[in-house]
Amino acid sequence: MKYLEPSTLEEALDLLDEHGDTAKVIAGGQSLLILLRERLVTPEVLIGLSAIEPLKRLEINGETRIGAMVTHAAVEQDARISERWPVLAVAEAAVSTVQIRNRGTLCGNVAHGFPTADPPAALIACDASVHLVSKRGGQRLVAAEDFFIGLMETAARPDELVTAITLPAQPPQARGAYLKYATRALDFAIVGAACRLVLGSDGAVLEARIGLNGAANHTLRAREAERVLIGERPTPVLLERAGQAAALESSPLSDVDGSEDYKRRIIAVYTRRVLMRALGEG
Amino acid sequence: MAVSTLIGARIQRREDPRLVAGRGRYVDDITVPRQTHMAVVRSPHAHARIKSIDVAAAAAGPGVVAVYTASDFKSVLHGYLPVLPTLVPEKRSVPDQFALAEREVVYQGEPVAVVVAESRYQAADGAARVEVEYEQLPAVVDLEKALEAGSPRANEGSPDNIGWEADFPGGDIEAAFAEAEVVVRQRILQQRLVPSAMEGRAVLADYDPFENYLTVWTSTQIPHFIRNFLSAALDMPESSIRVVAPDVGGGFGSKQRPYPEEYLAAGASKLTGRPVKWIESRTENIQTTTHGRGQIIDIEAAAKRDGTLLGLKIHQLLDVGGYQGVFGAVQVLAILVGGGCYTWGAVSGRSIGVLTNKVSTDPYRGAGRPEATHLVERAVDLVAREIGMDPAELRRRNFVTTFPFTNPFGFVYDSGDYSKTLDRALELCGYQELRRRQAELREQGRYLGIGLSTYVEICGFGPSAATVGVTGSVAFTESAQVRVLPTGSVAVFTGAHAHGQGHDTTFAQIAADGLGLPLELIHLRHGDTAQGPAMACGTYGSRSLAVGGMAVHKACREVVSKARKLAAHLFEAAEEDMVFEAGGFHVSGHPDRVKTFGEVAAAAYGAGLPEGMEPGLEAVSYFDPPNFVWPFGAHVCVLEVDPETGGVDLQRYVAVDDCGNVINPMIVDGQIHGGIVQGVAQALFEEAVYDEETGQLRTTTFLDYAVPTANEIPELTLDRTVTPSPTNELGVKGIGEAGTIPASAAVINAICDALAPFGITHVDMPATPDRLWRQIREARG
Repeated sequence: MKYLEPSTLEEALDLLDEHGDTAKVIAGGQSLLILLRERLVTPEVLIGLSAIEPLKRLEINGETRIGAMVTHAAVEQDARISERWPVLAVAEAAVSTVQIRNRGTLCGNVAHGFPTADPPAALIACDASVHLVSKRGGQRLVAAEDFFIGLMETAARPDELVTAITLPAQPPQARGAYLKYATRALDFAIVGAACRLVLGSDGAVLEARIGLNGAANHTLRAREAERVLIGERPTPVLLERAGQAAALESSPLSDVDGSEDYKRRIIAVYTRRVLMRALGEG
Repeated sequence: MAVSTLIGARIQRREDPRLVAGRGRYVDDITVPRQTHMAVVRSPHAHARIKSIDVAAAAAGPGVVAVYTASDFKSVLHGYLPVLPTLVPEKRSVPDQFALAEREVVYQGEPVAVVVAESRYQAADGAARVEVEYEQLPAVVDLEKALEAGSPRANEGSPDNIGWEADFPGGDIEAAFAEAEVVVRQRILQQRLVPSAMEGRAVLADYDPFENYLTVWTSTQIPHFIRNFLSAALDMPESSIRVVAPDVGGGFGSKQRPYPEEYLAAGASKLTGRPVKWIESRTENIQTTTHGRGQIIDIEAAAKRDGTLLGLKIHQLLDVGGYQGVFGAVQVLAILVGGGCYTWGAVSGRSIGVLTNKVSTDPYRGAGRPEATHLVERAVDLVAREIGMDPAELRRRNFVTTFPFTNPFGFVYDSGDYSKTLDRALELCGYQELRRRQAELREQGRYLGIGLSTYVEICGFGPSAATVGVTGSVAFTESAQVRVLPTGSVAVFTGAHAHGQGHDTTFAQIAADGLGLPLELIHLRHGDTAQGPAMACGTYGSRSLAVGGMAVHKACREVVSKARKLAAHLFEAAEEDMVFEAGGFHVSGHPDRVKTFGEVAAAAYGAGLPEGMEPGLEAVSYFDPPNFVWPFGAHVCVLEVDPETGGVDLQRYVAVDDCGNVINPMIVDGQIHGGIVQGVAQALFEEAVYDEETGQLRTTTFLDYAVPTANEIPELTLDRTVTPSPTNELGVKGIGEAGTIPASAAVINAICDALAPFGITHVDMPATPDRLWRQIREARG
């Protein structure tokens, strides 16, 4: 196995184009190194991003743009993020341990496409986009809710690199929350629910975005649950119904963390609770 | 005697600065010239016949020095892993375990070949290239199915999957049950647990053919026993083998036996003529280092409606694994101390060791005593619920109150005051207030639970008089050597081994006290068979202090006794007029004229000794205790169960323990802390899960084997009472396992208490949210 460390984005894209499927990109390595050690992936070439300076930037002007080499810790600890995109800050703080947050990157986490990682649900709630670049295809933007398509499967093609994630400015009256259910704090979520709500002056829900980790083999946007909320005033009964809808549109996997029916139950409860928290009632 | 100044002092662990700074020296930190690395080829199947092994591709790999299978080791390795005489009097056939399987593998991960290479990577790559052809055999996983007629055999060396089958009668059980007004029955599952020491196993073996001398560094709790076992297997005199257990990153019982890799590294070093290092991976650790518990326990308890406990029947099915664990049968202590702190009329038990296609079970922190406490504390709570009595009151009414107390199996509890620890624990948690709060919350649909667990523990293994019947000639004594150097500084060698227990501090405190010297003058050594006394037994079963500490104390006393004679000679006074105080001798009534310990030590190596006295000031002592020691205590767990998710919110944990006299309170607190966490871990988090069909372990990383972290544990409230042990002069008991022993029962009793409104009387471990939610849902109908 060869380790290559390009110093510019163009070089990295050339390498990806040249090696295609036989290459793997490594940012913080917190997911990939385990797969390598267990010999679950055996790439011929590793392309390290740590020498590409522009990818280390976290820029904020209206929207926020988080480069491919920005760590979870950097996002979590950025005061502007916690003020303006608190849902993301909370989800980032929920990622495993300090050591992993110090090495692992948000973009790497997203590119890995693990269904029970914490940030993806928050990104869906915040209406984030994933920036993909390749030598042949140029640049394209994919909405977070369309990016996750299967177990460790994303919309990115083998020659594409995730260069950044952007989050638009949140609507002024938006309120949101992320709530994680896990065996231990350092674990992947069994269920992670994120939401962003905008209420009208009459108290009815104008806009709702709900992201769910652990609800299927990929993070999903709970559109049915959102539909229950739109146009209605939040009441305990309504939130309960939204939770039920989220459970229905989910297809969780049975594993050592719990059976499918149990997880469905947790999805219902945690969808309800994350909405309550966003509304300041939980 | 010197005035005691250091015993009982809160002294920070002397070993910590080195360990915390990352300057510890574990086996993997040791590198010797010409070192090679070994990787082990392991069976992917739980049960299979080995048809053939092709090593050609591996042998041709880069950097590979040698590839060995079982037949290659026959010239250097003889015999098999010893199964020591155990607590079980009658044993059925016990299949032999060889370091490498030759024809049959009986658990996933069993070694079948080794690859020795220049680097660890090359060894691992080589191991991946060894081609083994297996014929898969049915895997025996379930304990009850294993006992059915016609069950496949877990091991072709066993006719019936039974490792042992033994009855333990303790009094007239039928008479006790004849008086019963209430009988409660419960099945309790004790899931398999992975001991999860922070450092995995590790071996470095260096054979010198010119000297015919073998040095083995190994991460073990029992260096001297390992030396003896290697001596037998390699057919080398013990004097030609040095075993060193350097810094060892925890054991919890999993390193108190020999393992295949110790023999294999030693054998491979002999065959290659080069040092061979093997470092266990975490997955290997979870898969192949022995597990603990693994039992199905059925209990039946008889009582009167006034709360009098009458009789207890215990039936234990114990998951032995593919081979019998070296000390696996120690876990029948679940029966022998299953009566707990109570005056039952009779207790009877039956234990069946069942062979399965899993890694062996062996002692794990508590070894039979957490099981004993769990079953009796569940029984007592079930009786209390049945007759409508407060569980604290029921306990109080049945506590043993006079000591020494002989339990139904003839074990003698040395001292105790069980009500005192319970009362203090209830006071600390505000028991009455908690019960009031519980009633209030139930009105709101919230489920607070308060769980009590009172325990007495047998430890300090072990008095040979009590164990000779079941251990044969093996005596679990402990040794110490105290060497006073000519200026009065002291080197102390203990046969007990420290791998987190803090002997460097506590044993130095004992020696400093015994010799009246400042701590700085005491240097403590352990874990090297080339130093100190000839034989030692190591650390397990909370024995170090009560047995090994006593050996240090005795050796100090011998040294002082000789020093006293010499001091009398120097003062030209009578020996009986000598006063030893604050590190010096004086003649009674003349405290102004002192011979310091250093002056006497110097004299011991000089000229002009009294007639008949040999030069030198040192002593070797062995201590064989007259009895076990019996720590006890009361733990209270307070938690709330979320009925919507089954999630458990641990809110408070109060522990009041009594381990007799305390040498170092900080170390005792530390042991209790870690112990409780491991007990809570069993109650709520951990389980080694095997696939029911294939016998393959499903929890092979810390991702799915959920060891709890500080995040999951609430602040612990600790206190203690002090009831000295009459068993030894120091008045000490053990504390290494005491935290774990009552903890699982405290947590589970609290959950059952919380869920009482649903009519739930028992929950199994680990009480995961999924499991609790299901039970609540079923109870709601």
